[in-house]
This record gives sequence, C-alpha cells and structure tokens, in this order.
Amino acid sequence: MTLAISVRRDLGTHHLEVDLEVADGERLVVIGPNGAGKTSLLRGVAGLDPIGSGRVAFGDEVWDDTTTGAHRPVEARRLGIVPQRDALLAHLTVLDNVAYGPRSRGLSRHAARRLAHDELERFGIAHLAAARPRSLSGGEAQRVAIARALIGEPSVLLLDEPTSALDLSAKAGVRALLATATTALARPALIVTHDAVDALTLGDRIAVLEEGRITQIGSGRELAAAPRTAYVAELLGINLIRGSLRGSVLTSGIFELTVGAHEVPSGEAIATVRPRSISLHRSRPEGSPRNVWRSRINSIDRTADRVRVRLVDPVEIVVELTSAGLDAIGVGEGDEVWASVKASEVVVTGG
Amino acid sequence: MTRRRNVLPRVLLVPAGIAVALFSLPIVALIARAPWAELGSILTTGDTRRAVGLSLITSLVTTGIALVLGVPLALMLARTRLPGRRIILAVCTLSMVLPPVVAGVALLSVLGRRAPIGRLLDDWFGVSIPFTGAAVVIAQLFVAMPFLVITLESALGAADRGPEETARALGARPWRVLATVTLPSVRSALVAGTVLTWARAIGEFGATITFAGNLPGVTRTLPTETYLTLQNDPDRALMLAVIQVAVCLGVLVALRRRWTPAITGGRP
Repeated sequence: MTLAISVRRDLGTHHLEVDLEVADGERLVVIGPNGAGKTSLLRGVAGLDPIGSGRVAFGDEVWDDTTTGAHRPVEARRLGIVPQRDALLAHLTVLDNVAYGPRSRGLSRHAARRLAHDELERFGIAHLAAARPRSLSGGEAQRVAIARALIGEPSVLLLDEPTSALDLSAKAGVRALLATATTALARPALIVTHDAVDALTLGDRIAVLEEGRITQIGSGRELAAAPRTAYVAELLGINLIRGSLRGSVLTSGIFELTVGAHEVPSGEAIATVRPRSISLHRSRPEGSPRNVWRSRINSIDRTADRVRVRLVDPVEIVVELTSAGLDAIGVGEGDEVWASVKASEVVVTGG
Repeated sequence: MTRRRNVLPRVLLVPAGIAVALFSLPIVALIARAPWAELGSILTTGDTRRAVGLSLITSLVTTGIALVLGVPLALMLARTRLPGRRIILAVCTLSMVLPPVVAGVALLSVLGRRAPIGRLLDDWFGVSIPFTGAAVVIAQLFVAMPFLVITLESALGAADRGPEETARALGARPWRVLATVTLPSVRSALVAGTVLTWARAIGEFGATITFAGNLPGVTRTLPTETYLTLQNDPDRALMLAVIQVAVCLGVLVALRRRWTPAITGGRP
C-alpha cells in the first residue's frame, strides 16, 4: 500500500508545502538543511504534530484529512518509528523496549517478550536483552531502536536521522542493517536526514526539502547529474553556477564562463563544474583553457590526502586537489590565485 | 592530587556557622533536656497514644488524598495548555506561604457551620465538618498538598517529552503512557513530593487547631498535644517533641540513599 502525504503548514519562518507518495517497499529519503521542515514533516505523518491542512493516508486508511476532520491517533497508526535522539525508553531493558509495542497492542507480557526475543535474535543482538539503554554504545542502541520499529509488522517506517548520532564506524553498519531490514519488510519507509551518504546509500528516491518545499526529487544519480539548487550541488560535491546563457557563454554577475557543447536554449541556466576538474595556479597560466580567472582563497579544508579549496570573488567555487598539488602551488588562505577549467568540463542544464 | 585553592572568602564561615548553630542547638538541647527516664510512661499514656495514632492516621489519609488529587492536578498544569494555568498554579500553592492560622480561618469561612458550603452540608446531609477528624485532614491537605503539586509540576515541566511520544508512536494509549513512561520518569520527584507532603501534614498545627479544634482523640494531633502539654507539663512536652524529631529523622534516613537527591535538589 502507498503512503500518500499532502501537507500545508505554517512553520513560522516559512511554509511547509509537501506532496509525496511512498510505495510499498520503497525507501524515500527526505534530505535538507536544518530547519527546512524535515522533522515537522515526519512528525506530521506520524500524527505527533498537526499537518496544518492536507491529507495523510496509508492505502485506503485515512490518517489525517483536514477537509473531513478525520484523524487517527498516533497510537493507532501501527508505526515503526525510530526517533531522532534518545530513542529507547531509558528505564526499560532492551527486551522490554522491543516488547513495548506488542504489549501496547494487547499481547500478554509473556508473549510480547517472546516475540521481542525472537526479533533481537533476528538482528543478532539477543545478548543485549537484559541491558539498560544507558550501557549501550550508539550503534547498539540504534540497532535496538530499529528492531523495535520493525517488530509486529508496522504499516510504515519513519526514521528521523537514523545515523546522525553515530560515529563513522557505526554509521556504515546501521545503514547496511536498515537497507536489508526495510527491504525484507516491504512497506513504505520515510527517512529524514541531512547526511548525503545516508541519502545516496538508502534512498530509492531522494526528495530535497529546502525552506519547506521539495526543490528536487529523483534517484541519487539523477540528482548528482543535474542538481537544481546550490544545496544539492554542494551536498553531492558539485559546483553549481546559476546565470544567463547565451550561446556558449554563461554570465553570472561579472563572471563569465565558457561552457561545453550543449543543446540548452539561451536564457536562465545552471552550469555544473566538478571540483576536481578545476586547476589552481600561482600566476596566469599559459595555454589552452578557455576559462581563466583570478580569485581569492577563502578557506582550505584538508581531509586525508585530498584538499577542498573554497574560492570567492568573483564567484564562490570549490576546487578539489591533492595535498601535494596545493603545496606545489604554495598558496594559503587569503591568497590570490588563478583558476582555470576547460570549457568541456563545464556542463550546462536548463534553469 | 593537587589541593584546590578555596575560592570563597573565609569570613563567610562566620554567618554559615551561626546558621548551623541555629539549626542544631535547639535539637541538641531538646534531646539533652528531655526526661528520658519517663519515656516509657509517657509513651504508654492514653493521651499520647491517642495523639500519635490520630496524627499517623490523619497524615497518611491526607497523603493518600493528596496523591489522588495532586498528581492529576500537576499533570494538568504541566502537560496541557490550560488557560490561566500560571494563575491556577499560584492559587493552588498560595497556602505554602500563607500563615497556617490564616489557612484555618479561610477554611472556616467556607466550611464553618454558618459559612455558605458548610451550611448547605449541614442542611442537606446533616454533616458538619469543623471540629471533626475530616477537618483535620482538610486542614492538612490545604497546607501540605502544594508540596506534592509543585514538586511534581516542576519535574514534569523539566522532563523531556520525547519518551512519551515514542511510547505513543509504539502504540501505547494515554493511560499506558502515563503508567509506563510519564510517572516512572518523575518517580523521584513523586516520592520526594509525597514525603514532603506527609511531613508537612504530620507537623500541621496552626490550621488544624483553628479549623478542627483540639478534641482529645478526635482532632488533638501530636503537635497540638505537645503545645497544650507545654502549659502544664513541660517535661512531657519535651519528650513528645523528641518523639516527633525521631520520627522525622527516621524518615529522612530511611529515604536518604535513593530519594533525598530529589528533595535536596540533586546533591546526595
């Protein structure tokens, strides 16, 4: 069955205006910057927050409909939910946390615990049954929370930042667990995150939520190939320059960029440039590149052997190169630098 | 380990020491001057046993009623957007700062035989509250229940709502959320508030003697008995006072490990 969401709600700073459908077995990731309304959306679907006006339905089961006044309380939606933080009930053991849902839905204590124990075994964490949440590692706690969400055939899965509180090594394990578990469940899964790796690894589709609106929706590959906003481009590591296109020249303010071969009509357009295809030089480079400009280094971000250099003036652009490459040029933050990129590396899409 | 330099001005030791003396000397004097030889005979007299029994029964009944009424009130104040909830909270806790005699007069003015509600009760049911055991309990409730309400309300206000929402999302109905998540999460405040309420109730004097009088065996509680005894048998009064100190100390010690952090504000 399909989870159909249509929400219009005033969040104070902006409006939440979202229409989404999540099919059985589909993992839809909603990604966006903090404050975009991701959590409000998830809580609205869960029934924990009002949806303003609109409709939320699971198959032919109406959960909220502001035109008819229909409302199904949270506890009657059979949700599999993993809240953002402190997901586990601190005063209950791991076993009783997992048994909490079945017990709430009317099973005897004994039956609920047996079911919970089977579920813990399925997840390979039966040895944690008697532990208190406080004694668990972040990764363990999240595994328990996921086991608890998946017990008893939930209608839909709602995951709020499922990996954001975890360290790097635990993230990968929890992602893998989520991927297999949600596939096995074959129910709609709505995942909210601001982590690009979560989105790319878990999302069958990714919906980008910015200031309350879905600005782009598609597979990870589609989004990476043609990001429509700076946020998406930055998130997926791609430079994005909006401007007006005339022939093979894109103009953005005082900055002009010669673009590669294309079939985009003149007018508003977006150029994308991969950070690795831009070169930096200490003085004006000789030779073939069509695009050469003088700029200033705003910040340098070294991770492992790669360096991301952010240039400002006349445009903001991220350049990625090797540590050795940057050292050879011998420039630092605040320095003037020349940048160049081949026209063929500048790809335009329609605005 | 290096010794940390004391950051407080040493002269503060003087007022702090005076404060400690103020609290400790009366208790020490009480214990020193009490006629311990007569402990047995004083404990076994009918007057003492009646007063002790009445105090225990009324204070426990008061504590029970305070829980039944006060817990829902604290939940309403902390968990709903009741209009005027701050005003309601202020009204419900006013008696904490009111002189107890004033509380007694206030109770008489509503439940007294000639007062509006008191007269209705008398006319319709032939019931008269003042100068009965019920009056003792009402007087204690009036001054003691706010301790439970205010302790619980502030703990509920400070508690994270996340666990309650998680429980609901997992399918728990409101009663189950209350019993399995909300109340356990404020358990120490609940115990602390209950103990404070009981302690205030068993020590109640001013409102009780004003509203309930001092009929032996009916409304003459241990504090009243102590006060009246002081007029003609100071030694016995001292001994009664020591008994009350012992009961209160006993409760504090019994609760020391688990619950006093909530009473003393988190420090063991």
